Amino acid sequence: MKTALTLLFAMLLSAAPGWAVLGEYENSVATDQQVMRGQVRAMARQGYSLHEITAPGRMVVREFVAPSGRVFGVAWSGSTMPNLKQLLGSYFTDFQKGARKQRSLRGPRQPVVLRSKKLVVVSGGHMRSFSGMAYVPDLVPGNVSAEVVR
Amino acid sequence: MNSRLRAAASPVRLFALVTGMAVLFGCGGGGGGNGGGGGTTPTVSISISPTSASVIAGATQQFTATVTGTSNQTVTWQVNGTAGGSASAGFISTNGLYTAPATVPNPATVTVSVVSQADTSKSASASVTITAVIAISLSPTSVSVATGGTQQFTATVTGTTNQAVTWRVNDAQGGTSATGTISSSGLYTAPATVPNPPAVTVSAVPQADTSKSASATVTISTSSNVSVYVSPTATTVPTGTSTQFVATVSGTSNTAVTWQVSGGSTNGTITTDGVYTAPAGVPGTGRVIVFATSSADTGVSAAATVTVIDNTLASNQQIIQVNSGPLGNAAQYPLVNLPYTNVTICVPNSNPAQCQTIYNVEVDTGSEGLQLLSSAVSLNLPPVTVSGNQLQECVQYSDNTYAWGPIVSADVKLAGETASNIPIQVIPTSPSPAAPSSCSAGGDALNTLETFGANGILGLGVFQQDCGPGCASASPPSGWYYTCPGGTCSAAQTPVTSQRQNPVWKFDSTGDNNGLSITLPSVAELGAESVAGTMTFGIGTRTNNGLNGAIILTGDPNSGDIETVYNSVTYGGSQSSRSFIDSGSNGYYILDATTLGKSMTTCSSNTYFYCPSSTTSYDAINVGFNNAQAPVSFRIADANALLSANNYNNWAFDDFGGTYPLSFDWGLPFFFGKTVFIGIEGQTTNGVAGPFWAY
Repeated sequence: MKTALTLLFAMLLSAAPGWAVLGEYENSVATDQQVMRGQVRAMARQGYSLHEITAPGRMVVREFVAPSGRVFGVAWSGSTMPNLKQLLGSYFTDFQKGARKQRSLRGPRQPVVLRSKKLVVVSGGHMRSFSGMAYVPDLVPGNVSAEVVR
Repeated sequence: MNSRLRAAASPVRLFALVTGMAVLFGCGGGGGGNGGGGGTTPTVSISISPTSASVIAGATQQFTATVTGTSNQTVTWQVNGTAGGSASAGFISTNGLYTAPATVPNPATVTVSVVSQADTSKSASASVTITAVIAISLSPTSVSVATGGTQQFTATVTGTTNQAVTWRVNDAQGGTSATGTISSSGLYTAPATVPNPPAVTVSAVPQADTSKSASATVTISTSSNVSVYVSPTATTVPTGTSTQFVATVSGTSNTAVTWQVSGGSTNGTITTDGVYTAPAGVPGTGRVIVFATSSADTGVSAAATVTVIDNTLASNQQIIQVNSGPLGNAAQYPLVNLPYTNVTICVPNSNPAQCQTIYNVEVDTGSEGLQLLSSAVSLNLPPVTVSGNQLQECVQYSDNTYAWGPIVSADVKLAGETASNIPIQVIPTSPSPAAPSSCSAGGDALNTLETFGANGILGLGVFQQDCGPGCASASPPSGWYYTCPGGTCSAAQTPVTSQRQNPVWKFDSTGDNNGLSITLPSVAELGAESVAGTMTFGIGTRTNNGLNGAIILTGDPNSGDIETVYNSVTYGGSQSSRSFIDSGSNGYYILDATTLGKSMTTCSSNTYFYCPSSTTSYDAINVGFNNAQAPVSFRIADANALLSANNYNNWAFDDFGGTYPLSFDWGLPFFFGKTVFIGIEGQTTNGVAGPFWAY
């Protein structure tokens, strides 16, 4: 049942616009995916849709889009860091501030764990293998667990 | 020292022994019954050897019994009349191996008896005296005191209830007016004027064992707006080798200092740059004080403690240190739990050789190749170019920081090994061209000692290059290698040979190219000011670098990562969950408090770290790409208690942890108390190809 829903429609789109920015609408940043020079795959999930971009450097970015069209979460893994300034959009400043505060307590080059009512970010890894996720609790659809943002 | 751990471990040991005894009684009792059923009974006699013994707490002593007058040699062993012994008096095994209790019982003498099962009225006894392992620690271990000021020291004696100590200043009991005095309760009063040298040693000797002592270094300065701080505050230097101290001067624009070694040149030498070289032989007790005196105010000094050890390093070994590093408490970050070593670089093919040793370089198993701050490099190293353009590199970190700078070529020397003419990165404070936006991405540049926290990073991970084939592809990723023709930077297709190289796999002709191992000692529960270990190059290539039964966990061929099983859940290997072993991470960054369990909590003031109410032990299993499994036990203590221990001057902790909700980042604490092997991709060890980890 769950698998059927998961695979209700899975489509492979090449060079189609689709990468959006956290908190914005999925069609808001048509150029971003071009910046990443990536391939996009869109998949329906129960209560949200998932857009997965693969790009050079084994970069995989997954965007979690609510039925309203707003991106409520992003997750990434790759050999380098994704461009978080681009990916987190208006939430980047909060991330930047939080990462600085944490650096003053954990030291430089340590994994980042931010958890506020407004924004949750985890960013870790090492060269050749970075991974992380970010979501906006207020934008997570009521019938979806934030745990899906992975 | 780790009493909480012992308390946790004891019930397990007790259970195992009690189970063993139950089985023994079944057999022994039956044997006795049969023996008693005979007709004429010859005189049975039994003796024990030795008949008296002195055993150190926690140690073992083998006893043997000789039974004559019967063929039934079955015996049972007792301690203080209890078969098998007890936790308080010590246990004895079925074959007579006595294990003394961890702490000295009261009374300290127990009786070990052996009873013949042929005639249970016959027994023999031995008297065993348990003696304590007495140890002493002192806090604080490094401190600065103003002339006429006071400092309270606290001595902790373990292994005995006798906490009495004798206090000394520069080996004089109670001190002197010239060096300062110390009361019977450990209150030190500095002299009225700065002594020469301006640093003294306060030591405490336990009255229960006067062969033991603990020492602290006290620097005496006049009251001044000027202050000096020297880091590392304590370090270990093998005879004939060098290390570098860094003085941070505040309160004046004149940051110059003069360096001296207490006791003169027989204790080693120090340059105007703070590079200390140990003498050829271990001087006196091996404890040497170096100090820096402010040129702006010669009444103000700071000191550091050097432990000079006999240099037993082989040509494939060099020392690795976990201490306060180049900045210590002068840093803008808490730079705890970072391992440092030194690297010698030379201009390739230079004749005469133009070389330089860079100290306080961080050892990182999470990356490959050498990065150095340009502020630490005085050599003029030749550029590495791609298509005629200077190659630049962007190294990004997960905390929104990056390092940007050119790739140059150098010979890199570690221990007696040389990697000739390999690409390394030099990080300028003011780069030209500046980092492109795809590199900086709104992050903060790490390009000074203060922001970087070390003079460089020596990446000794499981790969040959930092990037590898991905950056050599026609579609190279952003955020890695760039060229900037006309000042406009874009990602550059970069052959693997032009990328930063892990120096180990490029070592010339020694055969030690397949990997390395890092050995660090165990650390006490509240940490240590300074810990020294060894890096050994090659795995199974010499008599000093065998795997010795370590379990090989191969890494993911792309990332080097492994998986970790905890509470039957597998972490790692998926989209945003990676498990990895990384000496550049300063803690166990692991899951969250709820998932860890056992009432784990984060610190109330600083939820990035764990603050359990008592030190808590955990078990997990690391699983390789080859499905091999290696168990790992770890403990997590109250991070605030660790950071504040020893007057905020402990730097090495094996029980320091924080949250990382997705997975397991096995940081430096993982390395303490073990040897961790790092097998490089494409190289083989015992027929196993890297990338792998083994421990």
